[in-house]
Amino acid sequence: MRGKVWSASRLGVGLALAVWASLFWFILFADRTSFYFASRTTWLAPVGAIFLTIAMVGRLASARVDHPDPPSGTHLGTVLLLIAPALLIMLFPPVTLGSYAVAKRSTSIKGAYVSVTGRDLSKGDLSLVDLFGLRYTGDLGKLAPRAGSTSSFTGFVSRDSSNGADEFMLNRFMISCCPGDAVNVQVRVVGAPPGQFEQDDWVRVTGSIYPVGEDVIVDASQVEQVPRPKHPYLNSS
Amino acid sequence: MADAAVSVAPSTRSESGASSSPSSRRKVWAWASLAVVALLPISYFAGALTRAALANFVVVFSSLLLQAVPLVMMGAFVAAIIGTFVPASAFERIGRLPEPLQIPVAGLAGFAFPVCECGSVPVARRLVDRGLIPSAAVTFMLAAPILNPIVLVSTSIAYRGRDILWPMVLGRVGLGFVAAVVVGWVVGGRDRSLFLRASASASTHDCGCSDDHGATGCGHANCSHHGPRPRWQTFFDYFAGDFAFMGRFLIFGAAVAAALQTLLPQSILGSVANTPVVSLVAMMALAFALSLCSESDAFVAASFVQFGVGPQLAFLVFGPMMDAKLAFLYNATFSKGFLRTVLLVVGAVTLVGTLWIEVLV
Repeated sequence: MRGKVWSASRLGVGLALAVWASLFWFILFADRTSFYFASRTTWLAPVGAIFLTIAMVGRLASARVDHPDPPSGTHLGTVLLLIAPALLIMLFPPVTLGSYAVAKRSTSIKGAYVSVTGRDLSKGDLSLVDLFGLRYTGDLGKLAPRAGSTSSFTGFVSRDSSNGADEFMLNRFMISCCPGDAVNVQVRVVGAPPGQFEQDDWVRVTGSIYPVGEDVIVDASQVEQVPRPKHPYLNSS
Repeated sequence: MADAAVSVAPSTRSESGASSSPSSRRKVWAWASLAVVALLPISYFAGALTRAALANFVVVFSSLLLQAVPLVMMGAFVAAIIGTFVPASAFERIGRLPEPLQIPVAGLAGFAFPVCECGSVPVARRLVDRGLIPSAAVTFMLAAPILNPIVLVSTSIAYRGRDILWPMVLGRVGLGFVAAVVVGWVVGGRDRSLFLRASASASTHDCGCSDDHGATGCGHANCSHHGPRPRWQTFFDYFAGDFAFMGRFLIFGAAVAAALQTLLPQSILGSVANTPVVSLVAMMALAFALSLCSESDAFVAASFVQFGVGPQLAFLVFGPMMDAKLAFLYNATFSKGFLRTVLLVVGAVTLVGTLWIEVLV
């Protein structure tokens, strides 16, 4: 009677589970959850890490069988297919939605969440989340009394054909579960130093705000390049 | 003796997804999947895809995957518990109910199981393996991602503070349940043995042994030379096996969804938002393309405020039952024609139901 031997297919799946478990632990420990999850769904990262780790340990612990399948190209291909995306995410630096997505994502959507602001907007610094909420309720007109007041916004640069040399659009994506459902929030910046900022540069703009119809224009008094924020997407909570 | 869960076999398809008798079709599928994955870097280096487009694809693809994989694992965990520890008699009892009653009971069971649409597919497959009639298993599979408590709470949160809160929550529950039951009735006449694809069925070699049973099977008619596996090993056969089986299709579906989001401007939908029927179909198509999890899709639907109650509801009912990633999962799990049936029936019920609700609200 033959003893148990290692099963190549079970070891392959164990390896794939190990890679995926490592990916989730890596995302957690490298503090990268904000690149892939909204604040509402961040809990999925530790859940994924724990479940995948349990499955991996159990799979490897039961990988010795009486009659293993011979290794085949199909098994190898499947394991490679399972592992490839995890390695892709783990090995490459995290990228975020940028100016390319601006053209693909709706800006005409008024917003998503009534409750994103809920504070007194007649004073204090306005944020892009505030503007998002006002667009949602169709209340951008309420900003009229604040025309000419100063606010600061941080986002990335995009340009379209309507922009003059000293203009650009400042954008930030709002996500509710993940970048897959991102909605763009943008303001038009005028009076910026011409030619100084490229597409996708992250900048902080300070200037006077003017609501015009569905748009908000910022007459910039200061534009400075900043590093990409630790939380590149806006969250509704 | 069917009561003894330990006597019920572990998953017997090969871990890497190969069936008991791997066909050339399966090999073609596996290599085609690899080719699709390889196509992106090739397109990039050939100049057909810009760096920005590739980055956009990677962001959407990775975020959809990272969100779905934990939910798939949760579903696989529940499925493994059912497969390992729940005695077959539990399902036999449901199976003894009159068939017209089995289907709604299975649908209502969705209230008790917090599984999303990715996780409900392996659960349904396991239920069929454990003796539930296919129509009841399908009804559960389609209803659970909509009726489960987590989804109801997330839908309530997404629409909190809006006057359409209750039409959205109750409409989603009601329409989702009706659509699931109707699909269950439509597929009710199918033979159990023809219901699951051979590669998805775990019933071929219920010997309880510790062999792979992948490409070759154990080669013994009665498997009497094997002792039963410890229950924990059986559990992990199910648990890890579902990851390998579902993972391939999830990756493929996420890639398709990401490609659509990268290449298709969503602003196009804005122009159809005010056209009756077309706006419903458009939101159903968007739900199909985005392939979002039912536990978070309400937040997305709520953001489409230029669409009325009907189209938003269509998004929330149709998406958890039929989207790009599910299409791959259904095709891999169920027999030929199942995907078409679900598409047509769920589409028709959603369309009629949301039109009716839009008139009412």
